[in-house]
Amino acid sequence: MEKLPILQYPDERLKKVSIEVVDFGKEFKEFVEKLKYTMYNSPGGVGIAAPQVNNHIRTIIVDTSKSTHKTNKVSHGLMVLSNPKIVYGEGEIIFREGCMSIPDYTGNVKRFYYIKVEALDENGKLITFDTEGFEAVVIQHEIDHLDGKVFIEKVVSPKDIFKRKVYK
Amino acid sequence: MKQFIITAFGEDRPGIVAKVTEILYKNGLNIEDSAMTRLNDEFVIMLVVKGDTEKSSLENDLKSLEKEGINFTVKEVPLSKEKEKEDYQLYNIIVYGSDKPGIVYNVSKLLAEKSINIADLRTEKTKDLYVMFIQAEIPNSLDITELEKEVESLKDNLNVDISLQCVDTANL
Repeated sequence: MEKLPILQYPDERLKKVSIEVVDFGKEFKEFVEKLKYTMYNSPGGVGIAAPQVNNHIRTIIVDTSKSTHKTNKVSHGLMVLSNPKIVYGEGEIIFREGCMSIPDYTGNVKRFYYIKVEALDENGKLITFDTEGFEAVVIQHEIDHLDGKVFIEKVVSPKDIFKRKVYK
Repeated sequence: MKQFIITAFGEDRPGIVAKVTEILYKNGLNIEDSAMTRLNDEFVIMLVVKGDTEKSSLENDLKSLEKEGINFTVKEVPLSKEKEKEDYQLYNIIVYGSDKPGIVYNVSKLLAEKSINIADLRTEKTKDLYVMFIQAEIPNSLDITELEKEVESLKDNLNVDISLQCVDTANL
């Protein structure tokens, strides 16, 4: 399998709002496999959103199970979430985020610490779950992609955006 | 292609950035990096710019700012190149406490002795509370526990608080 090419800012296609998934058939499942492969074989490898590979459907993939990040307290393992909604958010966490679509910068972004999520799973079945810390940040970051938003517009203050030389 | 470091400052008021950058724009210069901020009552601009302009003509154009109370310097520098750097971890060092002479000197001296590079340093002072933010590049080869011990003793000597936070970036 080959990695799908990742759109990089300022590509206008990253700003498009994605549409809801209605068909969870073969075509969708094949795409999800490619998206998983792309996520696992990219820097970070904990989250990806369909529009990042130029497919504007509301699907994100998250897997924080292997992350050693200190805020990684709750992990639901690999999740394919379609039409995800944050139905409740509480607390705040400021996190230095990096993104495959903006490889040259990182920025401090404020997010909810705890979230309750409603989404459809890989087979289109409705699921709801609570999460916190790292996994909650990843989900919020990926959902922003579905709305055509990138983290740069959410940085806390001008002092909170940083150029980086190496994408590790 | 030439690269210049330009500094400019003047009494803070609306329009300083526009006046300075208008001249750069008209000289076909691109701003590669910048820090522009208000320091007490003065607005200070530091820029790295790149373009094909001659230094003398740029200086000549910038001279027009002097009559408006904006002072400047221009220095031509070699074009930036990617340097091989020892692997490092980014840390935020926050120093706060009652103001006294020598805080910046003593903290930066410790960092220099440890070959820790300062990428950014800002200080703020309100009444007697002094705060310094440093973004420091700490070589991976450095023993952090040892550094923390020395920071502890510096805290006692200077009677300030110092917090050392590893900047952990998550690639999402």
